[in-house]
Amino acid sequence: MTARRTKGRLPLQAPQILPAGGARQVAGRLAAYQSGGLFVALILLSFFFSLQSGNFFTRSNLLVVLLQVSIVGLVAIPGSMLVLSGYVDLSVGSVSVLAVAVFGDMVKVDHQSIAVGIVAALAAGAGWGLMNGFLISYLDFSPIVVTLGGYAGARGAAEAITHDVTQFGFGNAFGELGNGLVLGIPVPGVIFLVLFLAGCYVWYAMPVGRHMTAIGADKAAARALGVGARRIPFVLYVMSGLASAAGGLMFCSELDGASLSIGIGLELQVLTAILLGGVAFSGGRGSLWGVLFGVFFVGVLNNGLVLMNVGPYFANLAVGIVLVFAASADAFYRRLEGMPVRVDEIKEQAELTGTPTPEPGG
Amino acid sequence: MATEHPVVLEVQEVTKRFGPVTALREVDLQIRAGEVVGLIGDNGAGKSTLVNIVCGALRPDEGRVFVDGEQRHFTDPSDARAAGIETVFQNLALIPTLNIWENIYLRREDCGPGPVAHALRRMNKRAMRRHVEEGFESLGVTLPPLRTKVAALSGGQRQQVAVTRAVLWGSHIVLMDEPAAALGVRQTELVLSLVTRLKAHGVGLLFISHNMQHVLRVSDRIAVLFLGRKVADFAVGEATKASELVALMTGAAAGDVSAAKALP
Amino acid sequence: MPENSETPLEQKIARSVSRRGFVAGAAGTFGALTLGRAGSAFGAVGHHANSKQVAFAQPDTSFAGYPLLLNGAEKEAKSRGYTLLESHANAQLSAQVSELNTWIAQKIGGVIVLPLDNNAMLPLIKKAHANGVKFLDYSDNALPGTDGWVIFNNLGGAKLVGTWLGNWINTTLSGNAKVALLTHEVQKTGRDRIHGCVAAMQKVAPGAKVVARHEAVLAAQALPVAQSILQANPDLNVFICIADDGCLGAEKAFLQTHPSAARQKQMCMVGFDGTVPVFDKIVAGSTIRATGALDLIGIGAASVKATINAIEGKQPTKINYPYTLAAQSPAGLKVAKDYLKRYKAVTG
Repeated sequence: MTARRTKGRLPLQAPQILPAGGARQVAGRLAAYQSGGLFVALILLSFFFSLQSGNFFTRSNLLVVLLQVSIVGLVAIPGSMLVLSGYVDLSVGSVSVLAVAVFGDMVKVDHQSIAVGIVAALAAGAGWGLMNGFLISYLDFSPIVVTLGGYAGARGAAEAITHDVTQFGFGNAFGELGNGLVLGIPVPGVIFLVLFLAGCYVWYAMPVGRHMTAIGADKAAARALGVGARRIPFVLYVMSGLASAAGGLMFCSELDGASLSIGIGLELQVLTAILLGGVAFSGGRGSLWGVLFGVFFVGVLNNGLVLMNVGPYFANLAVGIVLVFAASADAFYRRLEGMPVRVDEIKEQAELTGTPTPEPGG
Repeated sequence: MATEHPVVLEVQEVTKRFGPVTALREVDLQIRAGEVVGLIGDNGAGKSTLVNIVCGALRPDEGRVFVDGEQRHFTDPSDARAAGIETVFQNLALIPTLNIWENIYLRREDCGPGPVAHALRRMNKRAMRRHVEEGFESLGVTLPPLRTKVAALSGGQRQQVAVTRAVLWGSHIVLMDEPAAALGVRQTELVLSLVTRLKAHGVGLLFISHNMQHVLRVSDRIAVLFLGRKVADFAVGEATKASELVALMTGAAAGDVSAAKALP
Repeated sequence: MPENSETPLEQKIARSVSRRGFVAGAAGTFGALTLGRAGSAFGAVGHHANSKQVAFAQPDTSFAGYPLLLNGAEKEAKSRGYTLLESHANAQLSAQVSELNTWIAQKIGGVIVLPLDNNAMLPLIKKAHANGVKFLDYSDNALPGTDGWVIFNNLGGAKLVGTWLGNWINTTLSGNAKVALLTHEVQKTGRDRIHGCVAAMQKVAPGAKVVARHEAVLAAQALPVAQSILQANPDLNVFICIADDGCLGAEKAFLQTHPSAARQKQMCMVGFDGTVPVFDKIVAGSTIRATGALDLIGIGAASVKATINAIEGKQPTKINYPYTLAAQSPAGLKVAKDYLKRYKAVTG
């Protein structure tokens, strides 16, 4: 700004930016820390489980939790960016199993190498994402309708490719993807954490993070301002397809089989983590760190309840209750945020009438 | 005297049709640096169409647009922006969930510091905040802290942000479409006094409003549109009355279209 | 009926369980009705033209074992001089009702039906009888007024597996074991399999204790559940899985703990259904050591047999099809290899 247009700037005057009043600032802090609130809830939950079961807070169990949340977490990175932008991808689970079906078919039926199979699987995921992105972002089709169609269609395609037969036995090298360790940490966990950090960079440090927020908050205004309101969601859908395929391959490697049970319920788990983390479903606001905590919250909950030998129904109930809390918190923050700011009225009056303001302290 | 300042924006014989309807008919207009031109007219007179043409959202069927004496052809709003024309839209085009400095810098973010951060597209948030603070200072704008989300600002404050955004980027031509519509008294004051300060910066302003009091207060010149034609264009004097403006707007009185004449 | 209060999702999960599951309304509507194998017996004296046709209305045609069922059904029909009609409903209820109506109108000899919805079948049974068509029930004996049924002896199968498991515990672990259950309690088949197996196991090896139970049917569900169970019980000895697919997931979870050879000897996974990958694992000597198998080829044949018996007024028309045990014992291995041979001959 200053480099381009230096004309017309007056010399600096005394700063006149004033502190905002009470409730609204508190609300701002609270909203920023909803993810913080979830973090506290996560700590409390972990503490609770460590009391209930001596096996919760062991290194091996914590690594198991990380392994278990990695795939959901990986898919939730582009998934949450889509929700932030005001879009959604419900096809992730089915695209992941489609990629797995392609992989299994390529390697075991067409006798291609593992590398070719992986490339084909990722291409299938990216290709489906491309179709999603084109229909939704460029042709303005409804995201829910299109990706719900993908939820059914991609799985149907997977069943057609495999004829319901599960291919097995992909060798030890491929097995490293799901079962290997890097410095003692499961490979899927490493991949997830690295990509999460990259996601944080995009979300918080790069302009495109603000652009996504703008698109989600007010698409028309964003477009009027020249934000890539079509290009950004399109790219995100492709990323979502890629992540789904990668997640599917990880699971396939863990099972050493292109099982059609892969990906069932994935879209629900991803969306739950995203909403728990405080990304508003309508878009325009949210924290990626919150999504991380949301992913771990659900993972810890599921793991802890199995350790305690409590049935799965209780886990679903617990997640439902926490989601309701997250929703009411979001509504609460929005009301608080909308309250008007009280600026120092004396100074404002002085500015309008041009009289000099008294210095503080007389 | 305003007439000594250079003409920053000029439109000549601009015509725009929408199907059978002619929205603008051979309209001429000049805006000088440091001058506020009030554009008034009834609904359908063509005010918004003219603004859209000047800001690059629409292309004229006939006529020419000059910026700083040079003829320009805008294909979209970014061309107009590149030429130094900024628009404060009627609906402000602010993103409520972003804060003040994020809104001002949206789509024009500063990346840095240093070549590595620039290549990695890392936003230089500190520099952007500082620039916005300095901009507000120099404009005498009083606002809550920069990290405040725009959703929490009052209508007048949002206007100020939108206007400041336009000014900080545009710096020499700003179009304002109904900037004080639906604002309370105090908030309107904030906006109008900002407009007055902008003149001191040498900004050429086109100010569209239905409110005669506002127009009379801030404008140096007034142009009146009636059914797509300019029917009056004169310098505002002490005796200019709102009732006369209304008569021109509604066609009850014929106007003098020749340039720069003050009404007695 | 407990079976039919399942949601479509539960039904889908139960796919690999012997009462086949369905995806209601999701993947495409092929719905178009075809007549399957054509066969006309015009000129048969005193009978309806199509009375030498039997229909095998198992609509879940995309499940992996379907070709095996069909293989058995076709062979049986042929050997008795009948033509077999197969379903093209692709797990769609509306399509199933359509094709049943068509077959009934054509007055075929008889049909054995895996009902996608029990209530929808009731008027069809009446219509069938009005037209002289025999109507039998497949995998279920709860429909009223049918001419016969083919069900699977879940309790018998559970006892087979449980007893073998108890003996293995006695032999390998001196009678003491920690047991985890991967269950599916909403479905009767699931409850019968698990409870029956545990009861039979504890009769033979009273020192076997159930230390964990959790819901998991398919491999991708069983994997994370088994991972957590193994964290809670690092010295676990047994997984009893409601379906073979679950065993595959549990096995992978176990291998992720990098067990020594000695540790692996103390782990045993057992399942139900009898699928090719599990037969392979049993034969290969992995920790998946036994399964209660249902002979799909045999079931297909038995279904047609019961139907034709009903048409011809013979017996049996009610078959409680037995499980066979494939396991890591001399007899059990033979069973496994035999299955593999017969199944691979059909599916390749």
